[in-house]
Amino acid sequence: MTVTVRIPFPLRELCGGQSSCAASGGSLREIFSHLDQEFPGLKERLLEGPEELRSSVNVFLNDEDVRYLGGLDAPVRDGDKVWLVPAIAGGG
Amino acid sequence: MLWLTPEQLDEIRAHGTQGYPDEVCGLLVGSAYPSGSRIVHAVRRARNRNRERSGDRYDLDPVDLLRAERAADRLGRAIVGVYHSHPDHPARASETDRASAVTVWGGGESWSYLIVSIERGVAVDARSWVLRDRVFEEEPVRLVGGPDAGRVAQEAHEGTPGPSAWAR
Repeated sequence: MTVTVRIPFPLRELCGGQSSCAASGGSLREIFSHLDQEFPGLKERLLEGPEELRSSVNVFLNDEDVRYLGGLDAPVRDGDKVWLVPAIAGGG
Repeated sequence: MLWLTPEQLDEIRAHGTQGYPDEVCGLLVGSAYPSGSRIVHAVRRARNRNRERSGDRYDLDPVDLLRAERAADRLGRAIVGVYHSHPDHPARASETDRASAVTVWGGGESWSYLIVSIERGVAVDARSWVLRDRVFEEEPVRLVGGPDAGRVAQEAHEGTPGPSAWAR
């Protein structure tokens, strides 16, 4: 399965400047492993250790938050789009 | 440097004023250039999910962010920044702002963080901040519109190559 991963612009320095990239795999975990081979450093910005998504990023598979789809085990289909959405918070 | 039109800044101020005494937040959609300039093409309001401490905290709804990302993608743009209000507090990035931004961006490049200060319901100041080595530094905000817009775009293109060169 080949999916498209959309990258927020500040993280594009880790991806050769691309706004999106194609990655292959049957699950989100495999997609991230593929990304890690092509773009070292990106995966560690997304995962806390090998098994857990960082709380600082929300990953959407098409329209769904992957935390409700099985997390890293979420299956992907050809043509899916993965969105890396930073968790933005703060306050004064 | 963050480039906005007066109308866009007015919209952000209005959002902050309307939301007072709660914090409000939203997104800056635009283009980023090698010089470090970010030009805002559109301002999009977002929801603050923090109900417990809405007076001094915000937690931008990720669904709103996803929608903004999709819209930006369709237009060949990127999200270049986030704005939020500081009710009865200066337009300075707080330690809470900094700590949260560092968890997202690490030591690398960040979005612009535009903060509007709302004092007793009136917008009194607006400043923008970017992470440099995990510390927020103020970035200049310039207002431009109308016939100057072309010159702004030209200036923004005249920079040294960098990661932002790729953001459209």
